[in-house]
Amino acid sequence: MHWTPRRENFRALLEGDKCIHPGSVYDAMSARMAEDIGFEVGMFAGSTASLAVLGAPDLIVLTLTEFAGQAYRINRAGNLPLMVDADHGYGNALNVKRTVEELETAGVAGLTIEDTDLPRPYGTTKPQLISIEEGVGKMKAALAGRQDKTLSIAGRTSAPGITGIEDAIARAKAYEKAGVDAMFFAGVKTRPELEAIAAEIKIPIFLGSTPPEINDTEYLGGQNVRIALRGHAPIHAAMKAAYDTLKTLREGALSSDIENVAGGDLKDMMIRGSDYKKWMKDFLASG
Amino acid sequence: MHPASVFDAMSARMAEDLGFEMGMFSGSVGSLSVLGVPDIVLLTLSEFAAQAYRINRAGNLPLAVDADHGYGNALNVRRTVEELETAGVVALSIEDTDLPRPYGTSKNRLIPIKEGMDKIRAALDARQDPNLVIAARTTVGITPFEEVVERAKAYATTGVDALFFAGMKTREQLEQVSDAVDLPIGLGSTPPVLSGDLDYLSSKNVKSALQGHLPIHAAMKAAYDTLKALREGTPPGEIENVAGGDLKDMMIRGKDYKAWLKDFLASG
Repeated sequence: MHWTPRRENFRALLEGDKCIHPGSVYDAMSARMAEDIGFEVGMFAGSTASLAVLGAPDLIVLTLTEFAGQAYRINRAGNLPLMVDADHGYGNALNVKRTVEELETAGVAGLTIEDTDLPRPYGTTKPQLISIEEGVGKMKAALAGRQDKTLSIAGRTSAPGITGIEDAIARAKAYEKAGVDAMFFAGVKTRPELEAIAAEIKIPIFLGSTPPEINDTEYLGGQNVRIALRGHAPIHAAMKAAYDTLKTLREGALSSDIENVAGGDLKDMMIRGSDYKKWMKDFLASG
Repeated sequence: MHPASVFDAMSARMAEDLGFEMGMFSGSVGSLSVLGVPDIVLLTLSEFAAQAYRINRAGNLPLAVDADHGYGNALNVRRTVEELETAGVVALSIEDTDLPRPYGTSKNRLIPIKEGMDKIRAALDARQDPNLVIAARTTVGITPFEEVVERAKAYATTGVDALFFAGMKTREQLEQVSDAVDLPIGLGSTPPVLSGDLDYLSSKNVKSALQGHLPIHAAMKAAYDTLKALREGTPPGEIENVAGGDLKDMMIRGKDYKAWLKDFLASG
């Protein structure tokens, strides 16, 4: 498949002046939903991938192969530019390079590599960061792994909540110098924090969770924030809906009594039924 | 019994926690959960077996799967059984529909009975663990009902463990096949005249009656409604009907990980 056009669309958003909220997606159908509903970008997080593929907590037990496989399932379903959270790049800088190669092949439009020390080191209870030097090496390895220059590679740091805003800025400047296209910050809580960051770096800013104080897309756009996540409610809604349905059936309800399931129209839209109807006619002399 | 229709790791855990004796992973649901495509055999064996493995590794629920036509001819059926056995399924069905849809046809049709029997023989031959249950599956409504009975009898002679019928509509039809063959019966969609009366079904040797595949359709609608509400500006905190901490923690087996973090990583 040809992934470059969606990467160019993603880059155009980064070069614009607006902040957008991506749709949190986790499989082929949720990606189609996000595209149909009008989201400009889909976001596939490491935490969501752990849920969708394994039903595991966000503790890096998912493999790169599984993550890239699910990203490919998402990408092949439509044309939504997909941004993925590639965690720490599944190992050291050489694993980062491999991560970029696999995710580029899987069709992602943008990816982040973070400088958290993952998986959790022995004897620690709180997240900690790798050194800036190692972080720079990982960013350089990520950029070296890229073949399609339209693929966006962002550095990601959780420094705001671990070591503080000054360290976050120092890291962002170092990664910017290494050549990353954007910088993702997790744990920014206040407007002064964001403004201190925005004053120091020129590349576009991505934010993880956005607390109410800063959750104003116009303000965020003015601070060079191009992407702000808003949690991962869709997969949690799907989880609850499946659970409630199985529970009701197990308690003796008949299928016909079950409410709130996708009807024919929504399902047909999600499977692109009209395309298949046409292809069956055109290519199989069927129907 | 009614198996639970499951489609991924978490739905399998839900079914197990809720007390279902068995999970069912069908080809149509595999097509939806992996690719989001219609049930027209576009999914590959590799993709289907991998999703079955994801389901099986999540817990201990016995999983029956609908292996469609075995992804090709009788040799592909052998391969299908090998891959699905490795993926951990407890039962699988191989059907005698001519799939994928042959050129120039608009309705499903069946392969000859002899080819169907040989496909079942290939399936039985490929099995390494004798505890894996293999069922022959045929569809009611394509050919006259006498042929359904004839196929059931023919497949029974291969040594297959069970018979699975899609499209069974009436009690008379069910009684004809349960009189003709002495094998456990599985039913696909169960119309109102058959569903909801497990005692009657048990008396006709029906061991498993599917109730459709509502869970994945409920998940589909919930994800759609949530994305739509977010796109229309609803703040994430105001979105209702999402899994809260308790349900999520149960689904990710959070307690196990907490214990393992403490035991093996000296963490927490």
